[in-house]
Amino acid sequence: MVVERGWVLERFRRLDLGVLLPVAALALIGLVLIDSATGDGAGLVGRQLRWFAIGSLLALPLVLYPYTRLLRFAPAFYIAGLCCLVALYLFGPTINHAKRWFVIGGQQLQPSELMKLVTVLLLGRMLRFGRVLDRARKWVTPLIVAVLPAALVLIQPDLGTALLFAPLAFAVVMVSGIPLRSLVLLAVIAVLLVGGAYEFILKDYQKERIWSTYNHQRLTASQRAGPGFQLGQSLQAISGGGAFGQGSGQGALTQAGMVPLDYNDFVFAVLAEEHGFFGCVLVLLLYSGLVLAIYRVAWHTRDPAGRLLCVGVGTLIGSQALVHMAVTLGLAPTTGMTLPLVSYGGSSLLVTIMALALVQNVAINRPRTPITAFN
Amino acid sequence: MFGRRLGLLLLLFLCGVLCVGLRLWWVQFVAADSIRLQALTARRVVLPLPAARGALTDASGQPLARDRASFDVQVVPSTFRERSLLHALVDLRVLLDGRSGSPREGEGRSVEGLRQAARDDPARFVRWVLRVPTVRLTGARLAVSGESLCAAQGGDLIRAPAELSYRLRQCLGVLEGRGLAFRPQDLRRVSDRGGELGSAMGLSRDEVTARLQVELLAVEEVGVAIGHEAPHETWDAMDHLIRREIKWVDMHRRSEAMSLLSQERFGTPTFGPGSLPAEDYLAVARAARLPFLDDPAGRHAARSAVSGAAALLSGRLPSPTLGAPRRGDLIREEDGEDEDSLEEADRSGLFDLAPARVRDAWFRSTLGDRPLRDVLGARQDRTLRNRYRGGRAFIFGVGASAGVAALIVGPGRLQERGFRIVPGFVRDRELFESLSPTLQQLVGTVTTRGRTGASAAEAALQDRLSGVDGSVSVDRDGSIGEERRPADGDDVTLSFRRDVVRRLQEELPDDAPFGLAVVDVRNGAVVGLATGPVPTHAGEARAMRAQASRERVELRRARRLTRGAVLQELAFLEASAPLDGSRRMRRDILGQVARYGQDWIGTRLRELAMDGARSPAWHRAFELPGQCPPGSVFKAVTILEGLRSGRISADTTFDCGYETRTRRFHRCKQHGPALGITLALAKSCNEFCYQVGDRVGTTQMIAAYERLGLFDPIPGLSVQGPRRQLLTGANARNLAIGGGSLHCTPIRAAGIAASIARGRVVRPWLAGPPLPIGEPLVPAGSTWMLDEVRHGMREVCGPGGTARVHSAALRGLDVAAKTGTADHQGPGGEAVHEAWFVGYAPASDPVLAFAVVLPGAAADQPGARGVEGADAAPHAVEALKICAEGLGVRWW
Repeated sequence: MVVERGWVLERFRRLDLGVLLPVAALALIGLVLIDSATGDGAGLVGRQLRWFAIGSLLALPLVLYPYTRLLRFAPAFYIAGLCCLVALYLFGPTINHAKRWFVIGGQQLQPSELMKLVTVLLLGRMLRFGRVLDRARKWVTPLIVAVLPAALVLIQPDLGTALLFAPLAFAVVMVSGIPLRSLVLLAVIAVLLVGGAYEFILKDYQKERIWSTYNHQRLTASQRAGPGFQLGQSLQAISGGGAFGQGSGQGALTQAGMVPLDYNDFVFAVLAEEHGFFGCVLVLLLYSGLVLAIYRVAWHTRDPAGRLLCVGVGTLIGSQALVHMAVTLGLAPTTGMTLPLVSYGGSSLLVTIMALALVQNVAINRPRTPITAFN
Repeated sequence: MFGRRLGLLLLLFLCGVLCVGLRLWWVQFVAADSIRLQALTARRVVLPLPAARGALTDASGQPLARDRASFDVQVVPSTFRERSLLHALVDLRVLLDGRSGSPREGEGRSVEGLRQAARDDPARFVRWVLRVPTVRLTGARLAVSGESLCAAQGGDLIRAPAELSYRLRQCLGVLEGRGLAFRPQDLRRVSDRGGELGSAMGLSRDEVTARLQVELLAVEEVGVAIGHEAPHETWDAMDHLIRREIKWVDMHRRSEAMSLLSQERFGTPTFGPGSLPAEDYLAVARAARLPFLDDPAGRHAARSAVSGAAALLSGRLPSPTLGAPRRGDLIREEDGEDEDSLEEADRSGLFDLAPARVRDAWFRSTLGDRPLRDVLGARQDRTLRNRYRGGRAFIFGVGASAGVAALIVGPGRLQERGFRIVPGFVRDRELFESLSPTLQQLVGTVTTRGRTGASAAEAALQDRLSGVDGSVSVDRDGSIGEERRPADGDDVTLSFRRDVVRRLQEELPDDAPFGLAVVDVRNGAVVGLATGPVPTHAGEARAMRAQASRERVELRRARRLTRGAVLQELAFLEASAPLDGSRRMRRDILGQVARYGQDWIGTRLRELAMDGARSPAWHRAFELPGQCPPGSVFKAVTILEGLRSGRISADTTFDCGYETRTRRFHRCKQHGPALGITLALAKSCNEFCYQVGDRVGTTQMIAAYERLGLFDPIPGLSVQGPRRQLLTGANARNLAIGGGSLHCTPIRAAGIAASIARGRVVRPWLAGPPLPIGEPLVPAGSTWMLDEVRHGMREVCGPGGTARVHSAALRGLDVAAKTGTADHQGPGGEAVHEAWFVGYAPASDPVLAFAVVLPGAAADQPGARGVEGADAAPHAVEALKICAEGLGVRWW
């Protein structure tokens, strides 16, 4: 590829600010919250900044290298990702009763995070010709592509990440033009799958956790101290926030270290306690703006693969954020789910930045004139 | 279609956002109170259940030590920061609200009535004193009114006048704005760590007031339960703990600030001679101007220290560091030691320019008047405070009952205000104090915090006496969760009767040091123990030992100091008055060293050793300071081993006269030619035993001691036995006459006598169950060997034996015994005797074995008590009678 003079500059000039600005704002809020949750002692802010730097470096080629060419490698990435997940299951270290991380050079890397992005890439490649999925055999294959890694992630066990593959596949398949009746059929199958998984795959502690989430008012004190503990602490912290919160670094519960994993899986509780309802609404608006901007990029591009890529990434980030908030608010069972761009976590942050880089790639390569009609 | 589907997807996402938003609204505004309430009421608490420590009883079942399981109360002070002000504030608020305590209710009463009211409810009385409404009162008027009232009533109006002034002081603080205003954000600041008051912010003022008052009354109740006489004592104690915690936190803040300043100034966070360049360190040491620089005595030393450092800097020595350089720093790799420079540095006290002092002085001068917060930065300061505050619990009181524990443990109770309870115990002091000091020494003490035996039987029997604590978890709804019952410790019966021990102690003369033990030959039980001189109480003995130990440490430390360093330190200590006890001792020692030189230290150490030999700090029945060889007493063991091993026979004789080689060891007394076993024992012949020792050898002698249980622990005693390793290189001749490195105590010697009397190994024990009687001392069919030794021991008490002076009394009791006079060098280099008398009675059918030692008699006092082993015989006669009566046997 011959790089023309000013080509790089031109591509950066075409970056989508609608995507970039909410990302920057969310990242900044994340740093403030991590700092508040951990104090200076843990040094997690510095590490998070380091991950941002690494992510930005990795994002550069993803922004510049045309995504259409990247899609060629999607099957290879996908197979490599599956192999990684299998290897992790067979040989990975058990940390916190789960095999989710490879430990390389003292750093924990979570392949399932990367697998989400790779699945989006492969789905984009499979459905890149914009065919309408009017027959079952046309949408079964994409579904299998999503279900396979989800199953491998589920047995790690990591229920939260596994469930994220569902909205991902659902969104990609839906915008690809699946007929309504097939969509209904798909929903029925999904319900059956979820029911079956609950009955046969989930472990007892996972079932108890789900039960305790939706029966929090009826828990005995022992259950509150057990499976309902994290949610109880989170709700208590959020309820203390009020309209404007208790102030940054002033949250009574989070500063006392009474909310477990408040810099990571429960960072939204820190936000709610210290910055109150309006702080949370601001973050919700930022996520809405981000998803809207990503969908807008999808809307403006003509390439079906680019569209699917953007829809996949937007859905991934949006659903992950919603699940995280739902967990801290007791709407969903407790899972180890980070808040994209805000929570502390290397793998999650890297993958999110890379995914957003792909969206920018699509944005750079979209036509300059607005599109007025679609198939 | 894509647009519609994308729109649908977006709609779904926005629905999710709406759901989250609505749920957030519900949690933060609609259900906030109920969630907080639920959290407060849903806690599960774990109540520790302390195990009762086992009791110690004597052989007749009389209790010697008894403990009650209880709780120790600890508190994390930071959760109570300024709570005392809140206390006053709550009182004041109740007053202002007029909810209780009418301001006029005290009026019209008689003085006696006022006194009664003050005694019944001091807090209420103080409220009356304040005469609300107080809104118009100034601080001055408050103070005047309280004090004047107190003075008008003769100062004894209330139970503790200090309480009145305390309350007034606190109320003044609040009114003058130094305390807290009743605002939610202030409450939050106060409750920083716990968060409970933070969560109480949503409650109304009245609710908060009511809660606080209940809580504060509970604290006072705890205070009363642990022995505080009035509430103000409780709050004073709280204030004290808060100050201690503040000091603790400040220590860490200072340390951090010091690191920051050092990093800023020198580029290294670790300030010290090892990490700073030599020039920097010297400059700091000069600039610090330590206190001794201003002191005439220390000026010279300090100046020479700095000049010595300058000499090093000028290149005469290759020292990489200054301040407290190691001697190795002053050695040139290629040239070896530079003797002159070493001497100069040594003379100048350079080795002892303490880095800690230089660092502290530098930090003080660098910091100046700046608050630590400025150095650390507001955020770092807050982080440090948060990190260390609340990280440590302090003892608030001990001996709390289960009722008090219930006040503390439980959802919404004091446990959530930083109080903790840990299993503890309370000793029955009355019973313990009723014991004689020697019995107290035998029973020993128990540490309060760890509930572990610290000395004597309590320490030796720790595993049996201590139980295993239990716990029970209780839910707010009253349901009992996991429960682990405590396993109480076992009661242990000691082998002696307390009345026998008391009689022994009362009836035996204790004008000179002695130790005595009597063992029941039939089962090895120690039935009598006595020592002299007797301490006035067990605490005195402990204090004396601790004092001597501290002094020894200080003396050894002073021995390592150079003269310059001694002068420096002395000047520093004198400039630092007032001094506590240990620093005063150090100052006195250094003063003597400065005056008389290092030789004084050796003299003082010898004096200490001599003091120890006569001090009441030791129970000499089972512990003897320094080395105490058993002397000729062990000749019986030597001869028995000679017979057992076949090295000698019943017919063996040796010559004892001038021509033998005995002068190399001990002077013999020319007991004549062809000396047999009986006569050798009766006359305690060294020469005979040397010959036997030569034939038996060191290894076999040690094996014999081992077989007799000399190195075994004694159940119920925490003291160690003699160390076997010390004997391995000993000369067989020395061992043969009980000398050399041998060390023995009366209780072990009595055990050996019991073994000879019984013919089998009898191991003495103090705490049951009885130890089984051991193997026979001689092979089957060879009891004649024992008879030979026993016959010799009977002859010792006869007209021709070494104890012939007391033969009438001894024969009357049918005693078989052996005298021993161990000569060895005393701490001052002088010759010292240890006089022993060890045996059993009645000789025909042994019941009791005994051992008496009169330690530390000077050899240059002919005729004095303790010079000959027989001098200990009267003690033995008296003890045998008392113990036999105690056991209910009489053979004489």
